[in-house]
Amino acid sequence: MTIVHLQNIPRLHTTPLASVQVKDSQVIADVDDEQEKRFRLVFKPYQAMRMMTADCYSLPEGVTLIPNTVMEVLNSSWIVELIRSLKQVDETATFMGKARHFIVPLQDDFLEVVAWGITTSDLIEPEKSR
Amino acid sequence: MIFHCLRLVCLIVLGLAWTTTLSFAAVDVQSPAICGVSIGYDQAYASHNGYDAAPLRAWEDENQSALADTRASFGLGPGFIAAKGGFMNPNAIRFSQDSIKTGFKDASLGGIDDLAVGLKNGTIKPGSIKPIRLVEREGNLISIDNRRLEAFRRAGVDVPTRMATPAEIQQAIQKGKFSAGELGGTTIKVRGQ
Repeated sequence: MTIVHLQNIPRLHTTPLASVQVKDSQVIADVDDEQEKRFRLVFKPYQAMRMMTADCYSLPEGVTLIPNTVMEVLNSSWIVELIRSLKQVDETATFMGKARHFIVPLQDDFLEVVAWGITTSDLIEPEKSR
Repeated sequence: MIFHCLRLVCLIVLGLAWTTTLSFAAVDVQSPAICGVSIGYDQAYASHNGYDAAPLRAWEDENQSALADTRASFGLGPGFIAAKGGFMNPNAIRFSQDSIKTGFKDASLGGIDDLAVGLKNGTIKPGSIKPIRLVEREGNLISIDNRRLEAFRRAGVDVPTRMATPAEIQQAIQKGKFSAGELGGTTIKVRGQ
């Protein structure tokens, strides 16, 4: 399990005051960046997502997260597990071949998404959910 | 002459008996005082000893290798971890993070200010709150439970503490929980108030 941080995504605030929603095959996370500016992370299309409180999130020995960054897990065992499940459901399906495993540290929670890709966008003031 | 000698011997014997009795009397007078001091000291020592040292020693005995690793990583001397249990002045403890959210995960506690008010007016007993976990680095005590620490600081009430276990410290480091730097920070920003 190797973790790399995504260079083109703004660094997250230590306390990002996150709001997460799942809508139309997308996982949307609204968060604050280091300058307390709100922006949106969109993972689409997603194949799996899980959210865990930091208290229940135990990292394997030797794996250290890169603080305040959105990360990608290379050689993800979760993706392998999902591919195994998919093969049982639809033997000819190949869409998991494009899947990537992302981790977003949200201070009290950790959001993990398996999706084809991630995009970011600025948020206009009324959409802030502080 | 014989009577004179006998009277002299009797006087000497009586004299000796009298001085010896006085000495015993003096010892008797002193004894309760000495014993009292001694008993008082022993009782104080016993009650101090009975407070928490025994369970901590037992815990340390069972976790010697893990403790040795933690002490080595944080430059601690033997016996340090056992010395840091109980209640402490929250202002003597640093924060591991540079910012926190106001709300507790346990919604029954509300936010930081709700806990602080409860502690201050006595509706919440400090002992009913889970002890905050501490790490020491270069003589600084750093909390990895920052919201509770901030609430006790605002209330001006001593906070229950315990040393973090090696596994807890390791997980905190892996998750990047030391955003205030290696030696922690003296203040913390509360967001979303």
